[in-house]
Amino acid sequence: MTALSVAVGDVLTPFSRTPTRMTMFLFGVAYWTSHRLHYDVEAARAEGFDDVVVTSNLLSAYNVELLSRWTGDPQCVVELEERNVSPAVAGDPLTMTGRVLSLGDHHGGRAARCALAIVKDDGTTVVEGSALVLLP
Amino acid sequence: MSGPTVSEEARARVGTVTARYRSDPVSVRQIREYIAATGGRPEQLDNVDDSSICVPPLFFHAACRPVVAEENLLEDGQYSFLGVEGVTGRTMAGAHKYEVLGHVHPGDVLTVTEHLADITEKQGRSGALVFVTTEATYHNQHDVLIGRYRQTVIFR
Repeated sequence: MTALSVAVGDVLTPFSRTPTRMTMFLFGVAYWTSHRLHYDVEAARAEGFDDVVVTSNLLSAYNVELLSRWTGDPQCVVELEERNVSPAVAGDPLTMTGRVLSLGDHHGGRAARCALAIVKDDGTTVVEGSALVLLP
Repeated sequence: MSGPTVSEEARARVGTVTARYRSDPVSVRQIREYIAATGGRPEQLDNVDDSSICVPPLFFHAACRPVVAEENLLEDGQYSFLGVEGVTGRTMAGAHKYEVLGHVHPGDVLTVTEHLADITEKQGRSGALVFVTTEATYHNQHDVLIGRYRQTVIFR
């Protein structure tokens, strides 16, 4: 992919991940996530969730991966804005999706504004958002 | 836990700096943990000079999470100062925005300065909700702005 080959409306190649309770442990270590909803299944169930809740900042990292796979540049993300629409819990297969909304310049380089959505297998949207990414 | 509640002291802090935190020097170990936690391969850093390490773009936010003793956490494990001290209730992440303005390198010391932007109280279908929005800036040890993070936490 190059900046010249990108067009408004292009769909980013989706990818999927299924965060597990172990994923949540690993993320808790890296992020110092002490909120019990993210590692204590009994606490999560007491609040009405089926399992431990996936941390929103982990979902952000998945969106970064979607964008990095598309551009080929792990440092391409300039802005990432997200709204949490419904919770995801450990064991939920999640698919990261995106499409190009607009193209423009950013500090002398080409950039794309992309719409993003993370969805579950049943079609439920977990996260909606947008990102500004530098194009190669 | 009952809630949500908002103290007068918390309301009075809207528009002010409510927290400042300086990270420890960023270690390669921390970066490896972040990469492993987000589905990557930590061994990609093997045999790489520190100066050449490509830190994931959102890492700056992880690097500045305060480390808090268990006895200072709330019953649900949450920080008492999430959003701002004086707003209580069960919490959930509402929305957020990261701006990546510079790179982070091993050895960097980051300083986050958090500003309380807004407290909004609403009546939801299942009861009262409080939306607390904070805006934080991240500077490195050279006083270079390397990131911003805006977050809305919902208390219910």
